[in-house]
Amino acid sequence: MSMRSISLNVNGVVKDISVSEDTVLLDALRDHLGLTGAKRGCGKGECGACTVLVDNLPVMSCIYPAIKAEGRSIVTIEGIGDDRTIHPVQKQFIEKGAVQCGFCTPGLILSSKALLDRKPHPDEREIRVAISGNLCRCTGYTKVVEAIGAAASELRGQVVSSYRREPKTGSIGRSITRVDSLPKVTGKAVFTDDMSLPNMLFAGVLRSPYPSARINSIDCSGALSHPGVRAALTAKDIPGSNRFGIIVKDQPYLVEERVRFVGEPLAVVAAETRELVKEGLNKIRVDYTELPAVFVPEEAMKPNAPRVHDTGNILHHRKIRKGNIEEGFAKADIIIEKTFTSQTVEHAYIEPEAALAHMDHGQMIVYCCSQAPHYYRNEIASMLAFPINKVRIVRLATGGGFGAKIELTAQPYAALCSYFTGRPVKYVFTREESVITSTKRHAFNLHYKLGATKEGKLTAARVTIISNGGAYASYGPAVLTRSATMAIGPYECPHVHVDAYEVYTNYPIGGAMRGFGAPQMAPCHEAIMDEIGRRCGLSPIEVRRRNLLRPGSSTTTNQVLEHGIGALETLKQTSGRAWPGSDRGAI
Amino acid sequence: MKKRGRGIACTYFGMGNTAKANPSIAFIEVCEDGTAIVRCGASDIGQGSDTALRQIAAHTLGITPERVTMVSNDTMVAPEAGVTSASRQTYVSGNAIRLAAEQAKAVLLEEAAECLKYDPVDLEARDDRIFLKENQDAYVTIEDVCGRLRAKGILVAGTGTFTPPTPEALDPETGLGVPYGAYSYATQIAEVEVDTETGEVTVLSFTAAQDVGRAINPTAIEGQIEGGVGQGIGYALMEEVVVENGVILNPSFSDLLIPTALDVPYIHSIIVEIPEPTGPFGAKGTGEPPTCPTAAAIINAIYDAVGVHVTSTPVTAEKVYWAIKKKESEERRP
Repeated sequence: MSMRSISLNVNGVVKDISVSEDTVLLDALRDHLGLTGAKRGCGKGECGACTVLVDNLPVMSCIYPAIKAEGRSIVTIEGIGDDRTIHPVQKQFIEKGAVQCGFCTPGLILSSKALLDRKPHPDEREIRVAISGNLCRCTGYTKVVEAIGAAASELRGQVVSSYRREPKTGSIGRSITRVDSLPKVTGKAVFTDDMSLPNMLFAGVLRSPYPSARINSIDCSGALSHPGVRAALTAKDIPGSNRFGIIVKDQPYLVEERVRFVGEPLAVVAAETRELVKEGLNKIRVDYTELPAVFVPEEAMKPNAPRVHDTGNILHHRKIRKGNIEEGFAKADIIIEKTFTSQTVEHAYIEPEAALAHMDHGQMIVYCCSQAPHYYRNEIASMLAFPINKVRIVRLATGGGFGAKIELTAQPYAALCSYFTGRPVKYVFTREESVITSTKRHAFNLHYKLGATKEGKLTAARVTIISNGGAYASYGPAVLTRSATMAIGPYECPHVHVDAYEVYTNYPIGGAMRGFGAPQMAPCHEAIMDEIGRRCGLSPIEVRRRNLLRPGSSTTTNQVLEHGIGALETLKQTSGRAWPGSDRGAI
Repeated sequence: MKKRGRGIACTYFGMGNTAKANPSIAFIEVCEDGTAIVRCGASDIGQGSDTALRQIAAHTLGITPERVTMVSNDTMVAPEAGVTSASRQTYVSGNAIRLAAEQAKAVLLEEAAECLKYDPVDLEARDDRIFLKENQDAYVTIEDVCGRLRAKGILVAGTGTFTPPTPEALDPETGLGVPYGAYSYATQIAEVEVDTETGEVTVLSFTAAQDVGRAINPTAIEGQIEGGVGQGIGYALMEEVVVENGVILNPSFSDLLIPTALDVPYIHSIIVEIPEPTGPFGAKGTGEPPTCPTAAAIINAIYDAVGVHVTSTPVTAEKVYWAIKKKESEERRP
């Protein structure tokens, strides 16, 4: 590919760099100019993390050709303010608490600056429209909108004050600013892909296109003889254990014989450039025999279903038997039955999974994003047959997690390649790789039967939960148990019968996600609670007030609660603010 | 026609791993100048635990939070604090840090007592000093206390470890037992507008209250509530990984929709503080509870608006539209 030299004016400084016609502005900034404040979240112009200003307008630099930027004025997060010359937008993002993981923050700040430069008095709608191309998964946008409004006031010369009442002494109850917010608003926070080491290789993984298959052979010779490829590794190369899992060690890093989901790793390649990694992966030959697959948990539970694991497809059956369920229904004046289904959900943190591994004097160092560095340490030690104290995990700034960055993702593959090549190895997922391979919020099929007296008090609850666990356990059994314990919500019910099943299928893997099995249950118990209210002539507030847990209540698992029970208070405060007339009780 | 409705939902959420030990350990070192270093491997992934844990350490030691440095990100330096999950870091690691800080503070108070010629129980540490409780003019700075101790050959440090008080695994046959040491409670109210011609649902306003025990950092907690509700709105109305024969059909953001700033209204968060005796300064975890009731509140609001109950998430415009059509045809039936 022909290269050409271009001059880029970035933050008022003109620099010459050599790029190809395909080079995007984001790569020119990050790889050629070392400006890593603009982030790669998707590579397709869909998330806005790469936003920079070109001639004062926000552009998605991951799809903007570098050559098109020649002769234009480019402003990145590094150019609008640093620790000493902080811009009002950056300052208000800190003050209003609009920074959480920080990965989308530079893009949000640049879109905001572009808005305020052309519109000093934006209303809330205009602010929301201006940042609607910048996805943020942490904040719910409320504090971001507040920060932009406050920055607009500050830029107009108005004094922006905070009215929060705070304790005069001590640290508890004070909204001190986050320790990491200044580096995040100035683009200086180091996320894993922002880091490089001398002599670094890149890695990539070959993944199965089939949901269920036997691997007859994997031939890496074509990859190994490809120029620039330094390692092509399969299961047999793993020096220690090829099994991991936070609850059940049922998952291989690299498949030995049997593929169980689409996207399962088969081989890993390390090479001098990202392009050479792709070329190397294309040279690996895999001989598969497709096997029957099963995707629906109810099908997988049948005795003649294809077995996902030799141990059987029912990974976990959690029972709850509180009181006497028949007696409970006998006491009910009203019985309501409903069936619900919930979908598979992606965490969609804006920072894709990333790791940079480096063997150093007999110690494996892995820089990465993570919710669980000590868990990673223990598993990587086991994979490499190292003692635990010879593996060091350094968590860099982590661009959200919400449960899926508990799992091992890029780290073991980078570590394995560094172990074999002796060189630093970086592996960053594409957005598609992130979505295809990461664990998901489990899809549930739920059946509810609840009984209540004519006064609206729960007498009995029978709940069946069937969870699509996917190909491996991950956190599944624990999610399922929490779902069972939370099945009827924060209400007291004397007779409860729950059967919850976690089922292996050839579906994407279910795992931990914010709420951990509770968000699936709430639409069921809450819709039924409303229905009980309607049948009993009680308002939604009153029927809940009659059933909510309070001191002395016993939970679904018969735990008697004594203290710290704010259920009624949260009901009172929300309804007081947002439910006119709720103090009247019955309809 | 556009119709409005209001829906409410309540949930609760157990702090920490279910019916299982999930310990954290923390080390604290008080330096010669009265600053402190807290080493505890609780991962801050954006939720703000480094800041909240810093506040817990500072408050316990009686020093200003700016004088506490958190080291949480390196397994060679920061000891194990379990996984950032189960809304457990403020509750579990917060307790470990509080205990470590109390151990270090006991050393400081002992020395200050000798210096001020009083009993340690008569003293309190705050604002980087150790005061006589009954006479605020009698004090010694923590820096001076550290200097005196060092001259005696004593360095000030503390270790704390904590696991939630969940004594045993649930009974395998009955599932009964004590799965969590503490629970967080939440109530949310959604107000929606449903377009009966298209089935499209717009969330107009959202109010979310959460019992956090004690708010360590109110702004950070509001951020957790607002972000949790934002994810809950996406879960309720638009998010779905579409899988066919095991293949994910929508692996990029063009088809895998998550909420933008235009899909989420201004979220009114309400912090409720009912102190939890087992939490550090009464605090409970805040990360997950706000995501749990959101979809339920929206689904109930849709029923309130148009009288249909959609029983599968996400509640897309298409599902609402067909549910309305079905209801209308049932009502027309004689």
